[in-house]
Amino acid sequence: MSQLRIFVVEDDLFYGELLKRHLSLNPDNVVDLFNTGEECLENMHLKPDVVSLDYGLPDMSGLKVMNKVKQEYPDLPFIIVSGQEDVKTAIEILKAGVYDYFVKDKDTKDRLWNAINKIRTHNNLKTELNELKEEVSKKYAFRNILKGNSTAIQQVFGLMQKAIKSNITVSISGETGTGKELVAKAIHYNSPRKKKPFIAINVAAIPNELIESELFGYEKGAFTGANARKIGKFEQASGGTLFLDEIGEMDANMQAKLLRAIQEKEITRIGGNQLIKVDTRLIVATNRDLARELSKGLFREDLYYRLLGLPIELPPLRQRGNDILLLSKHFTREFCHENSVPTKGITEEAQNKLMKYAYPGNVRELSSIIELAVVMSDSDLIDENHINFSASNIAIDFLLEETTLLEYERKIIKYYLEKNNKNVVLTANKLGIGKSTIYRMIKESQI
Amino acid sequence: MEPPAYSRLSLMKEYLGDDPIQIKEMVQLFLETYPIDIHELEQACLDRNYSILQKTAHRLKSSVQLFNLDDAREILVTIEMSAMNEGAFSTFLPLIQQFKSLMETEVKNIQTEIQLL
Repeated sequence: MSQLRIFVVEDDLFYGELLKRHLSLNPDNVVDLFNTGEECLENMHLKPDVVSLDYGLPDMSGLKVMNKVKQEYPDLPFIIVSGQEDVKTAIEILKAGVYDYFVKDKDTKDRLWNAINKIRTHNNLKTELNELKEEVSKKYAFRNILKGNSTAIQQVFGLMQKAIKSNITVSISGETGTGKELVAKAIHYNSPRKKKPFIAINVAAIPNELIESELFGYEKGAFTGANARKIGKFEQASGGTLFLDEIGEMDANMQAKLLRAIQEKEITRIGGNQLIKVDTRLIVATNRDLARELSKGLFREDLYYRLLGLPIELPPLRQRGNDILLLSKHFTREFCHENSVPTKGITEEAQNKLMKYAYPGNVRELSSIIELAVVMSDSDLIDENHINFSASNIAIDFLLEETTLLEYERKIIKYYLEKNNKNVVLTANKLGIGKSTIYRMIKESQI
Repeated sequence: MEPPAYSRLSLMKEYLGDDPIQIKEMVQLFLETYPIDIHELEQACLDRNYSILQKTAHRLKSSVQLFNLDDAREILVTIEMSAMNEGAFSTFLPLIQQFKSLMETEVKNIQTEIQLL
């Protein structure tokens, strides 16, 4: 349990002293007693966690004290303990935004004790939440989420630095698996908005008819099944960041509504009339070429330019050179740690194999390849046999080698021979070549 | 010595975790402060000051309640309400006198209970 500093402001010396002694029974409470509102105001530098205030103080009313303090400490909880029993006073006090209010009677002791314990729990949760937010921020430190020394990735770091210093909309493009959402999170958690929510939504994953209610929410009774008000993602992310992934999939009707929300910085829930101001930073991502979609008339020009903001293009892994090895070693360490095995090395042959592959699934694919390799390897080394690429990507792998036509021919024939259990006739038929060609290559040890 | 029919100190025990030293100290504080309040009530009556009458009665009723002194509290509620409604000053002094004499008895009861702690 954490320590809680409590101010008891009570003009009745006897009653105040009793409350002080009672609350001090909990060794985690530090209680200060003041007899006037002025004394309370003069001691606010002690930074109390809660103030228990008598409604009728000699120099000013409890509410006046509270309103003065709230100007500087708006989140500080106040408990008003009052001898006033009339309903009008109770309503006035509750309307003023006090945490709790009770009349002095025989149950005051228990009510005050419970209210203070609730505040302690709330404060503990708040502290825990802030610590978790800090941890998340550290987790999303640039160097922790995007690993690499290649020029391509260094340029991305440079753009991300610019993005965190402003509120500009960021548009992230890149092939699947390049880490678009991670970059969006890193920008958010390194920006001044980091203590507010990061809300991610995949436009392609939500049916067109539902996207509006997801983004803008709805009022109770807006349509059949709307049994209660729902707050949309735009509102949830106010003060923070809304990440719209696969924005290129948004239909024309919704594009118009999104444009309005961005331009006006306000939204209306479905079925509602009220305009709700939002302060939401947008980060969008796509693996489509939006400029091409624009020319085909599939994406609104006005929205395109609104969303373009600061464009960040994530390079495919195959263009990041030695980052492949750097990432491979990082993933190896990570997976070995997760599986509680000593960190494995990667043989030179395995490294060569990794460097030659095209990675159509980019970093995500490399991560899976390494995870499998860690599992397959029984020793402290990962060798080339542990590196398995998806068969569907072999063709791209061939093309990346940039070799001679003759060499491509040899590789293709070898690949199909192995696939057909070394059946020369079947292979020759499938490839539309003479079986003598294959026999000659075998004889000359070309395959 | 016979214990009183009901405990004046039950709430004090609840507030202070049944700690006799703390209870004695708080009773001592009450015995020192309530006569000052009575004097304030009397003075306010003489000064014909409704505001102080009301505030003092209001303050004192919470302390009195902590010793389960319901009759004494009732007198203070009457004084407070009457002052709020600007009742005749002639009615206040008898009420204050009634409160004073009631307290003299109750203080003896409290002191008896203190000795039994």
